[in-house]
Amino acid sequence: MNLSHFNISNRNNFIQNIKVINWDVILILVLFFLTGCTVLYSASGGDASSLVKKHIYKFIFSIIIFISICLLNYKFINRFSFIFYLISISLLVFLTLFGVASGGSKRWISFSFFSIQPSEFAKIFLVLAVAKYYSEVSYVKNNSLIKSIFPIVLILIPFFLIANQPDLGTSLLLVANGLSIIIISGISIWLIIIGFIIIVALIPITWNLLHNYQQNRILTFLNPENDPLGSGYHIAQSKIAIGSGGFTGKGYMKGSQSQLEFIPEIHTDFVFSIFSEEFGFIGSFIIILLHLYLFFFGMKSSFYANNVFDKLVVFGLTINYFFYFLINISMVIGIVPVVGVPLPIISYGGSSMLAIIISFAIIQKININRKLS
Amino acid sequence: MRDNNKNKFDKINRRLFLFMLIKILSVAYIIERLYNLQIRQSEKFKKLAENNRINSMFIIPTRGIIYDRNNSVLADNVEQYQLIYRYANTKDKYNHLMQIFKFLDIDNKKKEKLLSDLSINKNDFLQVVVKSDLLWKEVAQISSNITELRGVFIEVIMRRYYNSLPSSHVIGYVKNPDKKEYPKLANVPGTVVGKIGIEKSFDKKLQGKFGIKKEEVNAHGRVVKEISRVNGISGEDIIVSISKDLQEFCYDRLEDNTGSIVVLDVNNGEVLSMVSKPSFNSNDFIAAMSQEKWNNISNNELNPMFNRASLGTYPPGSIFKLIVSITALNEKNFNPNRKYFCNGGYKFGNQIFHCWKEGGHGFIDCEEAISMSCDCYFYDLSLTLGIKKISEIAKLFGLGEKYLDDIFPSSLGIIPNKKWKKSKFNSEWTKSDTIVASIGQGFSLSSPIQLAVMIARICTNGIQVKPKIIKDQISNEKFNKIALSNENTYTYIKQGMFNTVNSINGTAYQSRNIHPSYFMAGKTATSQVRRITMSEREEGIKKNEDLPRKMRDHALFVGYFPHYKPRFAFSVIVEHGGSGSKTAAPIARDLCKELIKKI
Repeated sequence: MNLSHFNISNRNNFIQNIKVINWDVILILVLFFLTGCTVLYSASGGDASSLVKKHIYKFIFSIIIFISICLLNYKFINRFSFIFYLISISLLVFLTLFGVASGGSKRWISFSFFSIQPSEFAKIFLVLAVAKYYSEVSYVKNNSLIKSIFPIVLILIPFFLIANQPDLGTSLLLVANGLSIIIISGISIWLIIIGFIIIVALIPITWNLLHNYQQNRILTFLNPENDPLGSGYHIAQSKIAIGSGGFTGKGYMKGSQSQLEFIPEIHTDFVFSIFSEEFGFIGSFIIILLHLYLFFFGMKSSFYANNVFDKLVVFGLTINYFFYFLINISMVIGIVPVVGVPLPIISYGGSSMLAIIISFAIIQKININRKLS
Repeated sequence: MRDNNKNKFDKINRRLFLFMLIKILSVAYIIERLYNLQIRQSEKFKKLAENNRINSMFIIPTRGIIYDRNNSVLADNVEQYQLIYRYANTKDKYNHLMQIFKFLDIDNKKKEKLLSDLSINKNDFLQVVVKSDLLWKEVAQISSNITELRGVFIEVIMRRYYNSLPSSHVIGYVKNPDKKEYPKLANVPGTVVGKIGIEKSFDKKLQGKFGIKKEEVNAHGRVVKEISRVNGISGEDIIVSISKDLQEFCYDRLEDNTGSIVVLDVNNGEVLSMVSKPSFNSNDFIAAMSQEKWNNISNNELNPMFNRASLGTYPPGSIFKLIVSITALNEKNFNPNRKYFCNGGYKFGNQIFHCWKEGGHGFIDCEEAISMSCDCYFYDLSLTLGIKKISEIAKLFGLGEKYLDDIFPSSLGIIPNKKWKKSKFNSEWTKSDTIVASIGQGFSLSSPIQLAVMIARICTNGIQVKPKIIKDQISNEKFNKIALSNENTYTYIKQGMFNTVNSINGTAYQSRNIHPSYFMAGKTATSQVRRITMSEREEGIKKNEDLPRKMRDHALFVGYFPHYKPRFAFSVIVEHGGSGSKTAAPIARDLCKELIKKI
């Protein structure tokens, strides 16, 4: 790594950094983390030793990364966008070739004491790469299809690699991220409409590429009554958990649905169910408002950003976070099929947490840079 | 260039707002959905969550034990281990069950049935009894492999166990309730209901009251804690009047024959023994019976399920002569000492009615006619009495009536008379009908219990004894007395019955040896199940042994014991047993030897 990009030596700059940092955002992220710890403690039946501890370690590690990114030279991110992208692609390729399947899919690269999920990082590095591309061509009016071919290729490569793992949820979110950036970068509205039509037309073909269990999940979702294999059971139980929470919730560690193991994958995908059961509509409402606050913050940061790359990066990272949130909650309340998307920072899972912390670190860095210049 | 850039910014910013709008709308939609789930539909989901969490279970009360009169256990409860699979209804259930099967000894048909039951089951939560009679070996294997298995529970249940095969018809059996008959009980796994006999008629009393237990269970069906419990009330024990030993004695004494023995206590009507052979094993009905076993029972032409003691009806034969005698003794101008000459045949019109004894009995009076069982005497007597009077007396002495019908389905039997024949065959009663009826043949049919009741009423000098089978009823039920104009009737009849056994010419003389001071009195009967044709008579009547079993005569013996202070009345019926004096009377003799112990 090129050490010249670090500017710790400039003490003055460091203090200025701290002054202009968005403490409200940091506070919300920490709140989410604490919520995560609380819920995980409850989900493991009052056992702090394993899951909660690991969750804390992961957060501490993420904070270190956050501070490191804030201390980096502003130009570093811009310059190395494609490099990051390529690194994430090569990790995905590595996973395809040498990955070890666990639970029916190859999603994790295991190191001795931790494992990472490259697809989570591929999503944010894709944002950087696409943003970088559009920032380079932004001097010309961006309304032709030809100019969008390259970013589409950028999107499709990781899409196929991730879909092949298989991880339908993450790969679709990646496409959604990429397309959102293409749309916001100023492509003609007609192309958006045509693109939309093409996607709809592709649905039957995609259907056949899906794995059986994925097809079942979608079928079950569309028609929960006809449930030959019991996949609808989990959605139903999650809805019962949330619904039975009522206005104020059943009380901390008193959620019968969660404590009695009626909800599957309670630590990861269904963490919102247990939270909602135990803290009720009030708790859920607050969590959602805090998320909304972060989305506003992202929009504001993007709006005030003073170059195309920054605008697109901030927008892309925010929408990435938004999709996590949207899909996860929609999933647990039964609006969309269960596709295996966590609720970052609150859910147990280091990669999604780190990806979101990195996202906010980059946004933060861009904000600091704007405010100081 | 700067302009261009500004334009670009405008466009990005415009779309930025558009996206923000989409985000806000999405968030609003999610909040609306949450509002819908958590506030509008909250009550419904709370109920669903409670249903998930709480497993209400009936506590099955211990079924009452059935004792015999000497406190020997006839129907008991024994511990049995059953394996229950309890789990959320997911597709894992098939794998789980296959795992469980590895440790059990179950035939493939049962496995297939369980698997198909599981696939039909649409409940969120499954509870299936995989095997209800685990062997110790299986319990041990399951327990040591419990970590590999999911949703497995071994529960101790109380299973009914029957001790007395000869008493199966009396006691009955229990079975898992049928869905149609018991829509509520059928949903409680492990409950049983009585099907026949005491088990059925006293089902409520034996069953007791169900308790309710509420438990908190997790998604895998494990009980987390007990929330509440209302204990039930155990079923009441029942003491029946039969004696287990006597039942076994009678059953064994019938040897390979089919038939029935009924023994009554004449003082209070208690049924001491009520045996119908062949019997069945009540224990076979509790668990699902194998097809083979069921075929054995249902296709058995000896019909073991048929309770001969109350449902079986037989021509009373010579026993009916007692009724004819009683009728005659109460006629003003009847002289029992008048000698009648029996030449072996009774000519009526152009028909000859034969006496069973070829060559006839010679000169005999009424008492001798009873003890030697002369047919001609009664042919003649019955014509002077007429069927109306005879049938009235028969009814007074308990024939043609149902006993204990609420416990054992019973037959009425047939006491034929003019009215009966008219309604049955729409034809007139003839004098030959009376002649045939006088010796208990023709239309007449009686059940073993009716015959025992008849004897009980005779030996108690006309007390209208009614059988009962439950011991703890108030025992001093007052019976009415039969009003007869001639009080000496009983002494006379009883003397005839005494002579039957103890006089050298008596038909049961061979079976007299019982005890130097206790004597048996009784009446033999050999009742025909076929008509002997004229041509057959000319060729010489075939011996019973030469006939196919179904055509052979029934052997009957009724009596009371001991003669001087009657305590027991009984009837012995050996189906197709040949002659009453050769087959049934020795059984009665041995029965009395057994009864001495009980005096």
